[in-house]
Parts: sequence; C-alpha cells; structure tokens
Amino acid sequence: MALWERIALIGFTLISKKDDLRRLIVISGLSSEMAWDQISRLRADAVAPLECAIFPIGSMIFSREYVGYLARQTVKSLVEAKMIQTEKLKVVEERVTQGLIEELSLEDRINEEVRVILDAYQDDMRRSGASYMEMFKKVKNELARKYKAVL
Amino acid sequence: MRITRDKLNKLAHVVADTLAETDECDFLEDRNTIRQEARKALEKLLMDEMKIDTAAKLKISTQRKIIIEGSQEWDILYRKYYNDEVKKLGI
Repeated sequence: MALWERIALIGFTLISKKDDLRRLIVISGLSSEMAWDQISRLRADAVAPLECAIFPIGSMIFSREYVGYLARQTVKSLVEAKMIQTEKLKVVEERVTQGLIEELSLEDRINEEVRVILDAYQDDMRRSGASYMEMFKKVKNELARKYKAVL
Repeated sequence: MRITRDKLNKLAHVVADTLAETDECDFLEDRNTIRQEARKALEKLLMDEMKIDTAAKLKISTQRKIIIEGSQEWDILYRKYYNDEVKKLGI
C-alpha cells in the first residue's frame, strides 16, 4: 500500500503551513501516536522539509467551550428555579461541565476503539474485500451495546 | 437538536447524578424533579445551538464558490464559522 493510502486510514487532519485550504489533507482513523508515526515517515520520504500539524477530527459534536456554557446555563437555571443551592458555584459548574464532556465524548472514545480494532484486521479485511464503513458500523454497535452507551 | 432524545435524557441524568455526587451542592427538590428541570434547560439551550449550526452552514453556502458539504474545506470553514457564532454568545 502506498504511504498516502496508509495515511488515509488514520484519523487526523494533516496541514502543511504553506498550503492553502484546497490542499488540506483530511484523514480519518487512529491515535495521535500512529498519526505522528506516519507523519515521520512522510517527512523521511519528503524531498523538501515538511512542516505540518495534526488536529483530531473525531472531536465532540459541541466544542468544550460550548459544553462549559451548557453546564453553566443549566446550573444557573436550576439555582434560579430554587431546585439546588450552592456557595461554590464555580466548583459545581466545573463538575457538571466535566460530566457532560465525559458523556458527550463517549462516542469519540468508542470510534477510537473501533478504529484500533479494525486497524488490527485491515489486512484481512482488504483480502476478503470487506467494507471498512460496514465493519465500522457493526463493531461500533457492538461496543455501544457492550458499554451500554447512549449514542 | 443535533442529538437524539435519548442522548438528551442521558445528559439530564448526568447533570442530576453529578450534582448529587457534588458535596458543594445542596438539593432543594428531589433528584427526579431536578433531572426534569435540567432536561428542560438543556433542551432549550440545544435548540438555540441549532441556530449556531444553521448560521455557520448558511455562511458557507453564501460563499462565491460552491463548497460541497462533507469536503475538507467545508469542515474547516464550518468549524471556523461555528466558533465565530459561539463567540457571539460571549463564551
């Protein structure tokens, strides 16, 4: 498999600082360690120095800042409705933010685990002609059942 | 909303459970009532969030050139415009 095809199996955005948006390479797949491993190989193959950065694609549906806002507003409405009271509002907001982040990032963690599993079987899948997307869905559903996750 | 009803209910449970486990928080109502109130608050906020999503998508669709949804360029612009809209909330 060509290096670029291998890269396509990994879950990060690779962007050359000198490139414009049209030349962004967006790739889907695995861990940051594996992405950096591939990037190191790319750099080794490159004729000219390759400056790049990686950004995880599989981020939560909402940004962390927005989840913090959700938590603050929810706590605020509960306080205003006189359902809870606290003298340490910041602590309560922070705990709720962490709880929501944990829940909202659950799907990402499952996706990551699916990618790791499928990566281990990628040669078998290629030989048997199995569809990556179909296998992804099946394994994801299995893991969601296993963890009793609400997606 | 961009999440399912089940997920919204789950988030409300998370809020109620987290508050129950937090020593610095006192309940003035029972946990179920608090969960229901949290659900209402989250639902309203997430309905508003859809406006942010719609505004970001609208900005992309009004670009001079056609940018296909799901393309790399679309994703990058979406994130940028979404964050711009979030900043307008003062977050």
